[in-house]
Amino acid sequence: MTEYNLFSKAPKGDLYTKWEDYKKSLKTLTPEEANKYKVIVIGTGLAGASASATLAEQGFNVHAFSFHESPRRAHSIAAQGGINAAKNYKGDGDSVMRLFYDTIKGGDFRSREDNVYRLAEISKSIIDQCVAQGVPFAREYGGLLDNRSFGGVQVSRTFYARGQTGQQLLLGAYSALSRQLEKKKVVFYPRHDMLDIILVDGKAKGIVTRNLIDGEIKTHSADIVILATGGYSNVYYLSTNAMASNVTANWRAHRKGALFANPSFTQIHPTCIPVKNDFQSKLTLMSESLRNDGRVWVPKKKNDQRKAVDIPEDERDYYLERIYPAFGNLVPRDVASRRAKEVCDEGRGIGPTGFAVYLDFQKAIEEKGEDFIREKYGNLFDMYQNITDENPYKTPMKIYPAVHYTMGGLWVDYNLMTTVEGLFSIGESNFSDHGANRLGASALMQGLADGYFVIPHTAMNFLAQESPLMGDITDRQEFKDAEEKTKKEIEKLMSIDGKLAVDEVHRELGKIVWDKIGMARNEAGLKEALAQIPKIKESFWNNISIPGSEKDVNQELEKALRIKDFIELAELMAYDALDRKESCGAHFREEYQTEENEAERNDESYKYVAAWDYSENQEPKLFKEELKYNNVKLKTRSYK
Amino acid sequence: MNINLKIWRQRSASKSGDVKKYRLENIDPNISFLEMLDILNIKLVKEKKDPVAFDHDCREGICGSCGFMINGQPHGPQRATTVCQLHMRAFKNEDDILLEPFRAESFPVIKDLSVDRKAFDKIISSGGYVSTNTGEAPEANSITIEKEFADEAFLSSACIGCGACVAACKNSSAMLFTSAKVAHLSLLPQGQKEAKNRVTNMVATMDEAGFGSCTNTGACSAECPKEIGQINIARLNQEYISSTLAGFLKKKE
Amino acid sequence: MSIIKLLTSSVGRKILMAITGLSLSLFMAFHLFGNLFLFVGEAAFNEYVNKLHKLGFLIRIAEFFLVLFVGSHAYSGILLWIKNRKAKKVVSSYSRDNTSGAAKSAAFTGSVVFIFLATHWSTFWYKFNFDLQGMSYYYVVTESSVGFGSPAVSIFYIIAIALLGYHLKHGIASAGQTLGIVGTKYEKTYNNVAAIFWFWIPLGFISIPVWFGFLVRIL
Repeated sequence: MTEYNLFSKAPKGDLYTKWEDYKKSLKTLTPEEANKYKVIVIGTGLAGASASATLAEQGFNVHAFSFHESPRRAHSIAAQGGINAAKNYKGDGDSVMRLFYDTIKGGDFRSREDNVYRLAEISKSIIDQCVAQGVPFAREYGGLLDNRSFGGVQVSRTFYARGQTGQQLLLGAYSALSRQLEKKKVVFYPRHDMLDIILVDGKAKGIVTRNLIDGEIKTHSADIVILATGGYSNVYYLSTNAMASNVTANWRAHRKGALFANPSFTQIHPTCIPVKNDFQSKLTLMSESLRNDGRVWVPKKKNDQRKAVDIPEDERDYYLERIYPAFGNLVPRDVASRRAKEVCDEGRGIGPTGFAVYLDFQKAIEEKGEDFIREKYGNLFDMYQNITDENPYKTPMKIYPAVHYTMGGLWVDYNLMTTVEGLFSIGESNFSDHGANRLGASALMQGLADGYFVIPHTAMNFLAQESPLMGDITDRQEFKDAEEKTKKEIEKLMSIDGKLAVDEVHRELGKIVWDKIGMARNEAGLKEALAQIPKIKESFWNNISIPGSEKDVNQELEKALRIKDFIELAELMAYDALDRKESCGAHFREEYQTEENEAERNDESYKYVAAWDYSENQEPKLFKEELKYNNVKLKTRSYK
Repeated sequence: MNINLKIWRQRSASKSGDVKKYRLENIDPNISFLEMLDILNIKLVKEKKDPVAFDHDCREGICGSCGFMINGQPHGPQRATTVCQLHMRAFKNEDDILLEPFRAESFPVIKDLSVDRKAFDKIISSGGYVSTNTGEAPEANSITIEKEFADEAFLSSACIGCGACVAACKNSSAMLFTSAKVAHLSLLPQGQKEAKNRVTNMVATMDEAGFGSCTNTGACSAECPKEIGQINIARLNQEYISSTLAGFLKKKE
Repeated sequence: MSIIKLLTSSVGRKILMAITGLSLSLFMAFHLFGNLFLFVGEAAFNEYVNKLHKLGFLIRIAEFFLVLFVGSHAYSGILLWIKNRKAKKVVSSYSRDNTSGAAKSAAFTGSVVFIFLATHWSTFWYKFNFDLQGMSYYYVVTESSVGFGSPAVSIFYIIAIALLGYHLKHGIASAGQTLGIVGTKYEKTYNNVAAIFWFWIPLGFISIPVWFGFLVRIL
């Protein structure tokens, strides 16, 4: 087994000038030289599309793959709130340093200083880039860009386009990609699943794909492979992710030697529409901004069956205001989520399932008027009413936390390269810059920072030191073997002929992961999960049923190929959560909390990135990257 | 509630298809339309039958993947709503519900209710962008844009590319889709430099892809889940005329 | 892109149809102006037509353009209609439609108008120019072989003009959209003027067969 000595490879030097200095030291290629290289990009969301476009502008020949029919369908499109940038347009004292510090602190000191500083620095260029592309950000009457404050920070640094910022940014990146498609510098493969990664002499040189229309299994070779495949929230079955978001590309890379970092760091968003019944297929997020005017409460009595309006003021428990008098309803996501779980577990949850709390606008409507609320949140209220058939102006909203984002992902160095040479990972798919908890409006920022401004430099530097393949190498044995292996695996899946639909297995898996590796974890629960997941795995491999043929469109087969990897990932998440005997950010171990039920971080023993190595049929092996903080002081988060 | 489904089944583009009947009983009116199809599909899988293929992904009404005809209407009966945001309470007990793919020569059927909308990407590639390389952008606030124009541009840019406009049009015209992108960029100073070639190239690509012409009936906007307006088509026409005139004057010089 | 290419795209053809269509509408207004001399009296009408004929060469040029406009309007219309038929894949379905009647039937009403024009030229126009046989213009219009003395001719004219009005109702609105007037500050004025063309002018035309074909005899 390989031993890894994990080191971020961040250059030495002053934090504030490190990235600029480093960029100058990197090797570059002219467009003519770059033209000799081929780059494979998997995924064409914010990170993938921006990377593909930029690499193509530099002269590389990019082959971009997506399971979607078009890059514009990627789930980046669903991000609502906005994108942070340290522009300080409002003159409220914002700066790169401040954004850097907020992000590090928000991540509960489990991310790398160097990466986060770079992210904060690049944030400004992202806005310039997007405006130049024609992204219609919100503007003030004077014609300048507008900002709002978001996610519990004290400055206004969030750029937005109504509640559709992700859509507008993705369409911007998609347009840049489209321009390169027209120039033939990018070849786009729609409706292709990446099913394996191929290494030649230890370096990533190709992939295996399945064409989702005719089922063709094919290999593709390239000089490097970039994974921009998003997060794995769908391991929980119910999440705010799109239905097809999956971990397969990352998991295939992991099995080939890319370490998987902090898999148990998964973010739970506190304001989602609760699950209504067993047929529920996905969850819908309601913007966090609602907590600015909504008050969260549950009845004081257990199993109170009365309607919300019938419960008098003194029998209501506004628990966030009670526990956190200073921040009240505006505590960070992880805190708000965990407290909601707590009151529901006590039996004070509301609604038919008992897993929901009220978000009440009554007071705000009385004080500021219904028109004010309508003006501010009208579209959200309409969306809520359309889904739930309840009028939130009259009766309080019901909300419950749901999985929303995964901070964990493939381990990457400062250059965004995984532990496999020539294999890069960008955007949500890497373990990234958010530590143990991501702040609002920073996912879009990271996706575009990686894609537009980091990977083009670091990938070029890598390639400048590699001699180009010059031509197709898919006739090599490694490619034939990989193709054969994938075909065999599909045959095996198709031949199971059991009784369960793939979705049913997924739902089972999701329930375990949500209960045991969700908002709060404990040793016993995690061990139970480790005992139960292999049973799910067994039932999957023996009892699913996939009708139809693998040579046609077969959406059941597509799902099966994804679920099999989610099952293995779930196990790794349990190992990771078990190893981290502390509470930090989104990872809350019940054994490690203060007397006031707050997270108890242990910087002495756990100030590391947990990067896991895969080994078939054995426990995963842990490698640690120690985190060093030279520019910030470690502090305990307090929102009292 | 109970419903009687009639669904277009077609194995692939090259095979012919027909309508098959399915009955579902005891459906909760509060589930979404696509969750109802999930229930049908799990049932079919358990009967070892081929489930109904349909495109969908975000189920939040923003990715533009979903969309098919429900009783002759793209995305079904509810105004300004994608099919993923449609709920069964929009129907009555014992309703007959006919599901068909979007029908257009330029949207070949892939399977059942899933169609190939690649032609939309081609239209965008032929000009739906501002030609700027990464890293060349000036400071964002060096360009000011009147709020009115920025807001208008946003409304045009809110198009999700689902194809309902094409399906709603008696001519299968892609004018609403194309014009939304042309209008978005023509309203902003960033888009001005390439405006002339953009509109003519995008229209040429739209024609080549086999979409029909716009006869200004307004059916597209009426069915658009994002309520993209007819004004976009007028804007495209303005751009087209000024581009033609400019071409004419140039030739004379 | 060449001008030819620009004008033969789907949008270009629509622009061509809009321009030719609006020009023909303007011509209609002019035509109606002349027709109304019929109400002034026989002498006045004959004098008006004589004056026109004295323009000679100019009239022929104008007629050439009229035919060219009608031809290219119809030609573009037919080509687009074929393209649109090809683009749509019609199926089993349930038909539900929110397209207005005038828009849906534009191709049909256009065809009827074309037949009407052919008839109109082969009768009135031909007679006025080449086959007067010593009759006065006024007489040709009001007699009973091809003129409004014949109830059949009158009814045909009334129906055809009504359909032309209906054709213009969609056509002029559509031209406003095609020429990018919709959404500008001129939209309201345009719509008001459009009503003159699709409602009042056809009504003026219809008044002639109604008067000379029917009312004149009853009253």
